[in-house]
Amino acid sequence: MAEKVKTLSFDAARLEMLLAQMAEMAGHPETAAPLPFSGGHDELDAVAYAVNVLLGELRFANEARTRLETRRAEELQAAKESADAANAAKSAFLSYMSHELRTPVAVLVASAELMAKKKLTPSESAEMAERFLRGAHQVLGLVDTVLDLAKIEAGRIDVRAVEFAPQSLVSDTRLSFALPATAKGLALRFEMGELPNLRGDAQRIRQVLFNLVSNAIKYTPAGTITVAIRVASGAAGHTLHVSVSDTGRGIGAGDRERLFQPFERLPDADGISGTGLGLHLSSRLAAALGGGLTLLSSELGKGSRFELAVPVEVANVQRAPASEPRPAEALRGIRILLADDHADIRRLFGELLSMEGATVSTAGDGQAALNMALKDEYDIVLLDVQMPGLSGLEAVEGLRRRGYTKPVLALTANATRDHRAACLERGFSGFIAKPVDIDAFVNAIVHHAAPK
Amino acid sequence: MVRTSTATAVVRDDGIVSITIDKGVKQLLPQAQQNLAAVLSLAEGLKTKLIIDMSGALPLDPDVRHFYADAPLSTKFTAVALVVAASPLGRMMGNVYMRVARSPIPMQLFPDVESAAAWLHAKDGHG
Repeated sequence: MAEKVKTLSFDAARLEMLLAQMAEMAGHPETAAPLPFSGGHDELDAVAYAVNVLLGELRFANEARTRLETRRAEELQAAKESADAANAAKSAFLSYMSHELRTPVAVLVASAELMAKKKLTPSESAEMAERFLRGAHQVLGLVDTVLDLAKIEAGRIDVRAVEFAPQSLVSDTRLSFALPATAKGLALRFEMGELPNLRGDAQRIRQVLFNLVSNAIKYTPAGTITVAIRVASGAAGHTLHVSVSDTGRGIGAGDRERLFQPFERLPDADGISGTGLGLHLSSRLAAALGGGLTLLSSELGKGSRFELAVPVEVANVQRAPASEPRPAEALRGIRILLADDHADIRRLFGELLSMEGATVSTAGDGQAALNMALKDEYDIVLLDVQMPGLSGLEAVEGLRRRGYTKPVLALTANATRDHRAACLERGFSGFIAKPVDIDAFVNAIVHHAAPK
Repeated sequence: MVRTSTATAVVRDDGIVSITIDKGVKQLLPQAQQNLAAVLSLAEGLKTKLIIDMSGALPLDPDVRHFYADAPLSTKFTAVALVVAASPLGRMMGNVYMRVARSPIPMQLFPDVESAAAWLHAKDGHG
């Protein structure tokens, strides 16, 4: 069978030219011009077209790769800058905290050294104790602030909605700030109409309110501080508005932007105590509660007005009766067993409880506490949860297994809801968070140890 | 009928959408976008077939070629017939387009509209 052979005829000179240009392309693929067409649309034109397409596709792919590499380099650079900024912020924070902590700790150490070396007169002792307490509260306040900030950063802030009376915000603020305000010659006023009981995170709301009032007192040389509380209702629900106004120094327009930033203080704040974290923490807490903290108005030399606005629910519970003031020696006749592995805690709490009229025995570990509780008669046992050997949790379990029915309270620095639940499950009757508020401590003992 | 700056698109009596690229005009990206929008708008609400008459078209730049190759034709059309110039260059242009497009729906080259339509009619789901 004859084979069919197709015969082609074309311009040899044109073929040579195309081949020469293809060689040029091989040497300079990025810049070489495309091969020209003759217009005849023949096989040479088809080859030229195919070569041009190949060159075009190579350049297209190259450009796409370059764009991708550029984008990746930019992303890496942005990530590096973000990491560098985070590291710098962390270093600045550690440096700042180190400085802020050293000052009050230095006061504590110096006071303690003085007390150890020198025989003090009663008034000197009282002054030293006052200085010691102030320094300790300062450290404690700083630690609480840092812990709260860390929880917020980790997204683990505990928001606990409880039923509370708005009146309690007024009474608590008056109790905490009436004296400092009066000492400075300032009037502390409250404006609040008839409000129903509410459901919200009363503790955090109080924390922000206290920060605002504390700042107002610090930055107001004379005049009045006014706390106004109201509830607004709308389609989205109820909002608690707590505003604090003062007749103080005011805040300049240039300082308002950085007001809620960490470590930022007003330019004329020298001589006024503070870490520069209070407003930052308060604004983060307000956001964590689903609300916000804003500077409503301010004028230099005239004063400022801040407002906290958070969503709340209206509760349907009876208003709790006002608490009775604690009588002197509220623990008279109560026998207490206190167990903690820290000797300082045993001595300090032992003395405080004795001053309240209690008879206090102490144990240094869980096993000793277990033995003493089973052998002797106590009205109430206070157990530190974290102890070496037999822990507080194991000790209370041991007591309950042996039929021990007296109240046992947990003393612990871990105040989370889960930990509370775990303590109660293991047999504790109640829970006292460290650091201890002495009034709450005594009231809890009275409540649990009182004869039923 | 939709008329763009470089093409004319119609719905034929047999329901097939057809677009004819003007002879000798250069398509850049904006013109390619117009042409694609034209055929997609004519096929709105239909599931039909497409004839692309590129027999008069000039060679495409790589960005335009890629734009056409990435076009979502399979969302509106069940098969595409390409009409190319009956020349080595015309066939090469058609083949290059088919290779770059890697179409998920059937695509074939033809020398004229009649043979293209006949092939599309023979496909399942005529019209």
